Amino acid sequence: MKCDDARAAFLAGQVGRAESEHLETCAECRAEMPSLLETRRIMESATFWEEPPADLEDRIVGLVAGPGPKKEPAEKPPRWQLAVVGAAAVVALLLGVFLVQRTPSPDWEVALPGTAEAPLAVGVVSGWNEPGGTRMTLDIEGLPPAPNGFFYEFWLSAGDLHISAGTFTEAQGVELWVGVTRAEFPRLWITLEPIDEDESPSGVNVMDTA
Amino acid sequence: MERFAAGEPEAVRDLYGRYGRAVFTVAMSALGNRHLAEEAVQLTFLQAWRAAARFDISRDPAPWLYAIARRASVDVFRRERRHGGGVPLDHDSDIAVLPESFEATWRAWEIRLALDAMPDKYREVVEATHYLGMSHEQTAARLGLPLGTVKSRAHRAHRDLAKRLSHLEEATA
Ligand SMILES: [Zn+2]
Repeated sequence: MKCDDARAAFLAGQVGRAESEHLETCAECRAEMPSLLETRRIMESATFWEEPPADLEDRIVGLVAGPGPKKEPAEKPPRWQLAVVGAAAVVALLLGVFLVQRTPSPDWEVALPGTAEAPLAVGVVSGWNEPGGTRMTLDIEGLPPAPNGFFYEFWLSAGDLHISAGTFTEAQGVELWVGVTRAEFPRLWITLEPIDEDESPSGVNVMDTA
Repeated sequence: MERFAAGEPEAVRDLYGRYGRAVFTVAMSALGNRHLAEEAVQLTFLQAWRAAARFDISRDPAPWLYAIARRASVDVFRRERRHGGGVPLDHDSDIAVLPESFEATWRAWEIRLALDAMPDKYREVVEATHYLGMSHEQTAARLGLPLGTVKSRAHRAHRDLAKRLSHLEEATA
């Protein structure tokens, strides 16, 4: 019996004498067993086989094509403008830029200073209150690209409850969407996170409104 | 992927056609609720769309999309938990923990993509075996096929699936 055939039988739950005998003599197949069993466990759950509703695709196309944000890579303010002015001036400047670029103008803006970990970083978060959540853009200067194996993560927090609005590796032209409002989650902050399976803000706090 | 990264709304259909079902599987396995899962799928494609200009089109979009899907599910889960919705509360922890681990949702995603890559005639046999819990005889009767055909398709399908998933580590490893 070949390993492939034995594994197929285990995955299918069709284990006979030949497969059992193979397992006794084959350490490699024994090592694969937990993985095969886990795959079978998932395939036996009814949840796994649920199909999305037929109209979900059209709803998504409507969301991305409808009124709302379009990507505007060519319309970002030039970097030098941000580099030469202080944080307070950045707010005023961006407000002007957005009044020209976007209708409507943001519902709120907040300066996002760098922490001691990133003392040169300065930025502004602009937010639009939308049905079901908040759209935000980040305009940040002085935050270096995330090193290999790391990414930046943007958080909204209320006390000890943290909501991730998304991740990025370079702070240029970042747009985020989150299914909560800033009124509920007033603190905005950015961490540098290692690429791992921890989904809490566990990394280094680099920018923070708190 | 090029059209998607260039911001063409219709290109979302291509991406949805390839990954929509797998994204839904991730959201369902994380949230266990169709309504919330639909919302997480919408969020996933919306966030992918908004990040598309920064996506390197030479890379495989699957892991990127999975990461967005997982995170969107976590966000929906946390919000529901905060508002006392239909997800379990864990008062000992500030950070909500999904019912299924990262490894399990990743595996569900990979299984779904492997099944989607299979011809229908193989996939339907796998579905009858695991979802409906049918024997080969029952599957043959249901699909109107000779028993030998069902047996050989089941074997080939499971062999293919085991090979495609052999890169996955066991969850507790
Ligand atoms: Zn073997």
